[in-house]
Amino acid sequence: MDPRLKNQRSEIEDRDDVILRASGIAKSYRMGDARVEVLRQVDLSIRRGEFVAIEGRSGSGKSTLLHILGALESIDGGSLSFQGRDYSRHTVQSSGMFARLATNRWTNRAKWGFLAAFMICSVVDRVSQDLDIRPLTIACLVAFHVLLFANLGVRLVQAVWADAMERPLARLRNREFGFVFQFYHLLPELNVLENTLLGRMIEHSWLNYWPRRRQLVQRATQVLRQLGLEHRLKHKPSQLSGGERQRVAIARALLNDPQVLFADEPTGNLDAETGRQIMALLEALHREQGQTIVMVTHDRAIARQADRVLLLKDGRLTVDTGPSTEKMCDGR
Amino acid sequence: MYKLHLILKYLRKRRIAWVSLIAVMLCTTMVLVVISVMGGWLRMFRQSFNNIGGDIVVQGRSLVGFPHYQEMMERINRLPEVKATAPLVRALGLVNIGNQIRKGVEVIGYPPEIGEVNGFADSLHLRKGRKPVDFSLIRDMEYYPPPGYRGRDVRSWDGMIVGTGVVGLQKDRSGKIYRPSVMYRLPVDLTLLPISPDSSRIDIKETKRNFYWIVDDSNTGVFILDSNTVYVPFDTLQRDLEMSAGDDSPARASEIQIALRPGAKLEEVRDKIEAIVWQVREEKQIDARFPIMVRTWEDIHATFIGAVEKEKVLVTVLFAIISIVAIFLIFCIFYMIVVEKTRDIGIVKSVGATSMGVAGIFLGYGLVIGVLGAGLGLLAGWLIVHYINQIHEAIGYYMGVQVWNPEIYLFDKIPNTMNPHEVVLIVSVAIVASVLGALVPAIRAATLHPVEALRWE
Repeated sequence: MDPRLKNQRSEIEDRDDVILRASGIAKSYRMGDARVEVLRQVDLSIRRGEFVAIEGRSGSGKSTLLHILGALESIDGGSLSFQGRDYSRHTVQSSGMFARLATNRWTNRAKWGFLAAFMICSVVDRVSQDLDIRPLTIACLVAFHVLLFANLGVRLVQAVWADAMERPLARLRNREFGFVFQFYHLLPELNVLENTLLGRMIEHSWLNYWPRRRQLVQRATQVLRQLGLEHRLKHKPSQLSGGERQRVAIARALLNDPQVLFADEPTGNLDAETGRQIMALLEALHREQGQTIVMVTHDRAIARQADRVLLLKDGRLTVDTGPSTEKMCDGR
Repeated sequence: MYKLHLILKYLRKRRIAWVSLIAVMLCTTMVLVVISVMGGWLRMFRQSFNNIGGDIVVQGRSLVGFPHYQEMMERINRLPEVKATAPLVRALGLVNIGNQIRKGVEVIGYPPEIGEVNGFADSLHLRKGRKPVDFSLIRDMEYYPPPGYRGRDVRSWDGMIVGTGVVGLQKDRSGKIYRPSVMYRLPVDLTLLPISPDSSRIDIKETKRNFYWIVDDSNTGVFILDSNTVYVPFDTLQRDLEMSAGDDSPARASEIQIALRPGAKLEEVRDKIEAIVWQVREEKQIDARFPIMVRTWEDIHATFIGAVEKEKVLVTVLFAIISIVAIFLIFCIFYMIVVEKTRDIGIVKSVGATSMGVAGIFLGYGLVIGVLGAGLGLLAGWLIVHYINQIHEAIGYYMGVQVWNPEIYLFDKIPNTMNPHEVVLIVSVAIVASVLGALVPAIRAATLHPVEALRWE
């Protein structure tokens, strides 16, 4: 590792206001029979109130890193901590041999094979006078049902298990983190106000939500007004422009006062002018409200608007420009 | 909160889910109507046959009946479980009603106390519910003697109660039976065939002819009875069939009908009555010419009740299979919705929804579809069952189709009541089936990886 990079990192890590820390992060994906390593030993620390841009080419692993930091993606190795609390251990691990066997591709094929065999045997059994293949017919039917229910049972257990494991991560995503995606990712059935309130609806149960509804709606309306969307409250995402949709996504992310705002190519799907407006908005949030922002971009010009730029190349962090004290605010 | 919100949004916006709602509704309606009609038919059958035949019957197995029935009745009446007993005589006869209707009928001779034993009194039109049952002529009615009988005292003839079908009475479109007043002025010429018990073969003595006036009509609701039976006074029929007490032979009856008190156990009382019958038989030395058997009303109709019960089970199984198809339909539609909503699932998860929360959306969606579908199905089923006779008549009127043939189904009216237990069971099964149909898609939605879901194309 570049000694200068190492010194900068240790300088940041020495400060006690580090909000997010990643060490030795490794991540790989299986593509057919090959395993592609996306991230290799990535170490990273982000201070409260910092605006960090992760820059890299397409396929360099920057979105994966953002998803990992945002508790949306599991890791193969390393550790993650938010405000000193480790959250890397909540990722779903291997489900056991039986589960793998029950949900295996070949087991699945065998299941439908048994069903087909049962149907063929039934027909042959009816048509043929000489062959007595009833035991085989019953065996095929039993085998099909055993595999079917084993598969269903394992998937049910997996779902329950995954839920138990991921619950702390879901809470983190709901209360501490906010996400802004390149493709906005708004629910088409909900209007602007409802999309903005989605996180709050998830946070509160039906009984808790209704007493607070007026207050939450007021708060959402206030955030949307700040973003210039007060006249679009009842509009559906399909009735909005790209820039407006992105602002709704930002409003949704901001409504829970996130500790960290993750932005994945927030201007990637917008024209230059709208992109500048969105960047100005993010910068204003950072400057005026001390919002911690981690942004992923492939555009160097946009990355330069951040306090600090991390360059990701072939799954490794190669350049860290370090904190620019004159740009960094004091934090919240 | 988001689950309920999204369920309601999806319900309103995803019209494809309405197909599963309609499937649940149709299945519920179909099963409710079929089970209600079949169950109602069985219930009606049981009630009607119990009502018209008493709880237990001592039957003479031959046309000549059996003697010493009074002694048997006297002892049977002493049993604490027995409410009332009445003898009756059955015979086959030929009627000529006012030279307009000539047909073979079953003739039943009822004593006045029959009203205490079965529901015959309630099936009458003019004398409905009147007990004891009487066959007296209608007061103030002018009876005109038929040709050849002028000058005779026609008012001394006995009264006859006819089954509504015997005189061709039918319900009109409003469900009421129109009775022409002339019907009660028609003389009935009844020809009977008395059979001697003293011969080794069927020995028909000379036929007996007797005249009656129609004094009332009986509508038991059992088509086969109403279309084929006439009722006359017990004593008259017993006399005409030469079953009355003679110098050297005791009086005979075809049956003794017995009504039990509420709570009495049929089989236990039947065994006691059987013992009494055997006791009298031995004491009075009733010989083999008079075979007697004691049966409950369920024993008598066991073959038919069993067949109807089996038919009901068969129809239930068939419709259960159709319902499984509906579950598959729900499964397919929900799977399609989950695939279509994969990105939405990723969005909801990225904003903090848990796997179970996501599964809850689709299970809740299935539950709402089930509740709404079953609710609408219940409403539609109730409307169809409630107005099934009117619907049947309308189909018959406009399309010329008669689905419910009273000659086959015994009753002239399609059962139109619902059993609350069956309704609760069917509606519950429909709701559970909807949730089950949504289970696999819900599990798939729950296990979707948020990032993969967000990248879904």
